[in-house]
Amino acid sequence: MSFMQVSPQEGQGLKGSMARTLKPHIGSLEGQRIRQDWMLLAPQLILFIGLTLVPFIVAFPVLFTDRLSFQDTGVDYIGSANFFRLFNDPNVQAEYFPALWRTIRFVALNYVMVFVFGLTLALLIYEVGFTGWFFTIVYLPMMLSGLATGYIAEMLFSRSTGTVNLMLREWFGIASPIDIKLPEGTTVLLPILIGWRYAGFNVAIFLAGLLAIPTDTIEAARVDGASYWQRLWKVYFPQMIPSFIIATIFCLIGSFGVFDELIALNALSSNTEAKLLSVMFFTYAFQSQRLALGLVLTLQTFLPLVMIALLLQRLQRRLQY
Amino acid sequence: MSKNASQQISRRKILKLMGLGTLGVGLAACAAPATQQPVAPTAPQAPQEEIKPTEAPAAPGQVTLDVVMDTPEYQNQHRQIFDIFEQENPGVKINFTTHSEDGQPAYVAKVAGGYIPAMESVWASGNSFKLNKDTFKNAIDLSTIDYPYYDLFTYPLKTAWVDIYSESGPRCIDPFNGPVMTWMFHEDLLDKAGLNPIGKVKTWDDLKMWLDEGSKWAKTPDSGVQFFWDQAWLNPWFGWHLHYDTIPLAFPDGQRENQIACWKGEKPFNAEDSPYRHTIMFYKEAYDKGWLPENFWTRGWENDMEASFAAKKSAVMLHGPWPWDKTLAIDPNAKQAGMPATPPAAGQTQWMQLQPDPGVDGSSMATMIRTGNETKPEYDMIKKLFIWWNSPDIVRLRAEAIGFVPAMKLDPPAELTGPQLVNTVLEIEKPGGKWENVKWERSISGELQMGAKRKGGSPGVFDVESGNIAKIWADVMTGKMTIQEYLDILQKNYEASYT
Repeated sequence: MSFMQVSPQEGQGLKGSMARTLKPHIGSLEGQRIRQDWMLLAPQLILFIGLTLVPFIVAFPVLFTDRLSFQDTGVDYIGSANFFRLFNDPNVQAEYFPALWRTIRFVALNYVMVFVFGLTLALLIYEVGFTGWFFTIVYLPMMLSGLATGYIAEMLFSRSTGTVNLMLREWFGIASPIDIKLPEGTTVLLPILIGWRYAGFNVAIFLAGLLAIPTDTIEAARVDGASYWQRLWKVYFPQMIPSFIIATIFCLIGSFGVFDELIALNALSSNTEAKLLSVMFFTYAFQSQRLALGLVLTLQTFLPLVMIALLLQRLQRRLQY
Repeated sequence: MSKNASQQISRRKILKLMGLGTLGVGLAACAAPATQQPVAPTAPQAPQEEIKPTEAPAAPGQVTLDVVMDTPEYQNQHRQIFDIFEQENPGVKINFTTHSEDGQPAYVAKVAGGYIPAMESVWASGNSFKLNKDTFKNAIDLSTIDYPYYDLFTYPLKTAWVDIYSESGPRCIDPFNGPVMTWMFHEDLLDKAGLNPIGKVKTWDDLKMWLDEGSKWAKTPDSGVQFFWDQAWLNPWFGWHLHYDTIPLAFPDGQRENQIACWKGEKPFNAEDSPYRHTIMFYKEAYDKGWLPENFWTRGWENDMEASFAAKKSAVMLHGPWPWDKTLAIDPNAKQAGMPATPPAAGQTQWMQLQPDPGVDGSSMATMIRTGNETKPEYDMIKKLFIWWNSPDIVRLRAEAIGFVPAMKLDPPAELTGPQLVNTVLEIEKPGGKWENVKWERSISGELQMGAKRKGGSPGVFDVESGNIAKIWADVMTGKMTIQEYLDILQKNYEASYT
């Protein structure tokens, strides 16, 4: 169906409203709908324009300067020089590429956690029908701040005072504890921590996907004698591809944006493994006096991400049942 | 939840929910804080104690001056001093706020958005923030405000900025000496263990023997401590001049003139006789011999190290004045004592103690008037506040309130009661004092002297602002990098950072 051919059903939604003629009859029911749609969208649009778009436009000229910090008073225009620093400045490369590699590794592990936590719990809720208290437990970490979850992890896995380490030492005689502030500890525990925190968010995505599956397809598979695993692989998952892709997009962008938890894990000082790109950008802007360069690197990092997200969206439309 | 649930929410409903939700959040954010608008009770209630708002709104005609500082630990003391200014100047209200390191980036962003407080500490913008050649225009040139007390300073405040940065100034005033790093310990613990160093530790070798014996004692079951000497990591405190410039003073070739020679490019940082080699060597030896906690660079400064010391889970720290107070706040009966940092090594005859630089270009106690204030109608009152805040009587009050040594000649002198000051710092060079034979090293550091030469955005010699230094230290301590390789990095950083 092309964008301008709108079904009556679609005409009830915003896309339908916007897809219809842009000159609705004033006072017509359709015109009222469009006005109402824009009114409902207005608060979010205002916030988005005010808090995202305008700051970006204001900050844009900074990309072409040598601005060191917000406090820098001797700012000069340097053209596109900042955009080439990633390719011709060994000092920037020495910081950026290790941070990029750490981030990609974290994204991969975090993506696994999306399914370990999100999909598993969603299936549990869908199949077993857990409600109420279980939902509360799953969603509770989402209500905590990132810093809080980071500090909770530290309280559990701190080298000398972590609860888990004390239990390992006292009950199992394991002398070498799990130190979350060491690179090895962070590599393993950080994705688990983030996966646990965003479990509720991912459960919602996967549960929506599960509930959208027509029940007759599931019943038909049952009648044909398909085992649970067969139903999972042949019936559920193929019809959940949109959910998978949405979860992938959120995981990808969210992983690059993880910050608070990293701060709690000493990312700004000694914990190298926690120095992901988000920390590097923060350091450039607020600590190392390389604000303009930091902004450019941020842009150079996130533009490909946006492209990937758009490609995934297109893929989602193609693969949709 | 039923798996057969077929009730679907329409896009339109979602849109409505989102729209109304966002509107609600927006309205909630715009709402005035409850403390400013106490809600009248809707029904008669029993008399209650009046709840005072934390920030009373200014009365009509009243001038409100915002003051921002970065030391929340001194919020109450400073607030009481500002109350005096309010009493002396009816019609003036001081809106005083503080924030910790976590709040510094947010404050910088707020300032970038146009916020201009009347007065602020330089480090309100960040612990390593300096009023240097790139940033000095943020602060008003104090030579324009007729500050009358320059002659009372123990360092050349009036000319130091001009001498170092070749720009008119000063741009900020720090009326205190920098915080001093000394050994500190639980005296009762060490007395019990027979490890009290006073009178026993007289040389660098004695110090190392003390650390070695202490570490062995800490491992015994009845010691009650986890570590003898505890060390943690915090940027930019660790690996800054507090450690780098202090330790070399124990050695003949580590003295100030040799340190300064490195900074001025007269001697490479990676030279065989580099004064900074001593710092790394000392810590490497301490780590290899188990005097320091394993992976100490992963230990939290406050949560692990200072908290452990206050709880007597460690016996010794090399630290400034703050943990003395923190320990007393937790345990008023704590018996703390101290010892100057660097007893002499072989060939060095004089026991030295570093006195860090005054805040010529910034510190947590240095205050400035931000540019932009000069156009405010209340600028005269702002100048009056700034001069008053840095006047002898008020500096005395500040010194007594927070336990910092004034860098001003005060008459009468401040009655300093800070535990580190009374026990150790004020005893140095004091005739008849506990440490009368220890000598202060008060000359200006090479880093400060070269302040104007540092390139903006460069790593600096120790790369402390970025935190990259921590990994290097970890590599050196664990043997992945040699001391020489580390010194080579310092030299490379120097060449990249200074013109």
